[in-house]
Amino acid sequence: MSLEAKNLYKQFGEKIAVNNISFTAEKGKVFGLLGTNGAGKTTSIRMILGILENEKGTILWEGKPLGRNTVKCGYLAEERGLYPKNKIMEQLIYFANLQGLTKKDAQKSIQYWAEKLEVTEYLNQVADHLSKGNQQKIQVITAIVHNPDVIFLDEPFSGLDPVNTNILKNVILELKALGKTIIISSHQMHAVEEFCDKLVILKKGSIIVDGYLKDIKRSYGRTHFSISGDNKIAELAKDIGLNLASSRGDGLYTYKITADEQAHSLLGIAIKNNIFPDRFEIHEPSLHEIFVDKVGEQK
Amino acid sequence: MKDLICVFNFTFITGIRKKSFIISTIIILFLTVAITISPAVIDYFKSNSNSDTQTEANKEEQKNELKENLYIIDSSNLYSKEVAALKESMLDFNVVESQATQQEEIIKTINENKKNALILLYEKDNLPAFDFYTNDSSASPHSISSSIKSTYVTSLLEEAKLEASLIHRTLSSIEYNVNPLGKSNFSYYVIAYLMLFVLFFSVYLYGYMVAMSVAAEKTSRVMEILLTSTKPAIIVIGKTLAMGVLGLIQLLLLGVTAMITFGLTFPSNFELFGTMMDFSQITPGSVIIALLYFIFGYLLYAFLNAVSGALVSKAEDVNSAVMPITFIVLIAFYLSYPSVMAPDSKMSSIVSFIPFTSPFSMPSRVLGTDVSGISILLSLALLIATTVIVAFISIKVYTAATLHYGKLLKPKEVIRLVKEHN
Repeated sequence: MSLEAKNLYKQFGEKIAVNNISFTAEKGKVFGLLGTNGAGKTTSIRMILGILENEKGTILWEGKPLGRNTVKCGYLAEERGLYPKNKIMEQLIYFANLQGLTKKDAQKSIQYWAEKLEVTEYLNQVADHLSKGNQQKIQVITAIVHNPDVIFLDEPFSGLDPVNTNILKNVILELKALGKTIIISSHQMHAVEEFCDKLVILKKGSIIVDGYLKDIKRSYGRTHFSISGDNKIAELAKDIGLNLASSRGDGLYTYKITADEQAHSLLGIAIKNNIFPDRFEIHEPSLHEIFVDKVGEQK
Repeated sequence: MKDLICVFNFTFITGIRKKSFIISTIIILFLTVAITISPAVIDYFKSNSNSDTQTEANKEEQKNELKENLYIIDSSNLYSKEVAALKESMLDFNVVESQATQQEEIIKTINENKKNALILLYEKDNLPAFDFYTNDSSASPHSISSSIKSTYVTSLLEEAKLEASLIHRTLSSIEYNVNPLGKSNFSYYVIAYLMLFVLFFSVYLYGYMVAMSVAAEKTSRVMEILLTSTKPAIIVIGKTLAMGVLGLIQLLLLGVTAMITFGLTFPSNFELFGTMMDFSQITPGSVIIALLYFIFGYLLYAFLNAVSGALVSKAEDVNSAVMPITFIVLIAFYLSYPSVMAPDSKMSSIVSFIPFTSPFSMPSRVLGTDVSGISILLSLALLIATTVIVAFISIKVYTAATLHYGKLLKPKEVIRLVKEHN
């Protein structure tokens, strides 16, 4: 069971927004549709959902053309869409009704997910009175209220604080456990990395990275190492010509390396200088690093 | 179908609970009662003032002060009889005999005050003639001329020693009776005007509300969620129908309130500007025709408005987007005016067949003249066919434009979008 997109293509005037992209999202897995701003993620999702006309190519669900009648889809749009003056419960029932649910079933499902997302208290308020984060969580309910098989989440974490990000992560994991096919489009690589099995990275409408996250990482090899310490470490690393990939406020520096020896030599020099790092790790690059590397490489 | 009912219900319930709907309904009903009750109020004050003779005398005095002056200068000094007769016949004016020397001064004041008039009598070819100086006076040179003529002829005939009875017979005017056939009368104008206004405002305002509602859905980005659940056509049709039913409810409330107030308060034998008011031409048939024209007229303009709403990205741009439609409605409204004034004229009969004007024109014509059933059916059929075509095109444009964000689309861009989308 899978969702297959083959040779999706979309042109707006002169500009090619999506250029022959193909991918397969499997059932019970989370698929990452990643890319820079304007890479064609949202356009691809809209084409799969039938909001935008698919000019060329095919979209299949279990081998059959995907349509409103073949499979139920849920969609969390990137832009927040709620009626500002209507009560949350009312509009959620309306959206659920349009998806074929009866009022009673809709209420039950809304109540269930509202509890999971901790927004029950807002159900009788008008959307205008809710914070951006809470509106976002309500919006998630509109995408999953009708128990869809395929769920598209376009930038699901935007506007959420860490606590709410965790709440949403748990909901996504629950949906995954329920066997849903989930397609996430996001810029927040750390969040996506936690549950993405397979992904594509888009740039200017074309796929530049494609495959299982594990394989992609493995193909890179152990190309990074992280070491904790103060800026003396950074100075020593600079002295021996290491490439800084990223640094954190708490003093964790990550360097790009071509061989493990480079990491070992920095550790040796540090100890000689009476610096004893709490953390030292040679590892594969993170999704964030792969993204920056790949997208930057082509610039 | 289920989706259509769903969109309809949501739009309808949201609409009917809106403060703006409730307040506007209250205002409309209040105005309806006020207008319908006004004949009774006028009648009440009239009968009060009639019974009060003292004030009547005062009023007479006031009236005299307000009368216009009609200056007469008889430069020939030949027509004293005619002047005397004028004094008697022109009762609505203060007839003032003046001297030729005053002529310049009088003309000057007439010009400045924009009232009063001057008759300058003289003899021409052995006959009385006069120059009439007026700026904006209500005095009619025609009635002055007939008064002078009648006096002049009488004296001519008297000089000819004709019998008094013969003179009387020569000069008496011929009596005639006017028997109006068909429906045309003054009360018709009142009703036809009211109907034209009500239809115009309801079609215009409810159409505008459709545009607002579509634009609001687009602005709040709810559109994207709706489009994943149902077809764009369902959204436009459901929304348009729901707004239409809201309009119909207001219209029916207005009608029922007017009828009840009318039944309770309308004085029998009520006269307006000296004409008996008679509303017998409002038959159930004419009401049904008006409702049918409201429904299809509304739908025609509402679909156009829905497109305007879909072309904008921000609710505040709606006004400029609906401008072309506002122009069409206004032109249609003014073109339908003759249907009230002259329901039988060629112009009104043409206008009552054109789909964009027929909703305003035909209901008034039906009240004012005898329109054949076939004409009504043909006009309705044309209107319905046009509405269907406009709805079809609107849905296409709506579907294409609905996900466009940015500045207001130009016609060329709309055509490109529709082509791209299909």
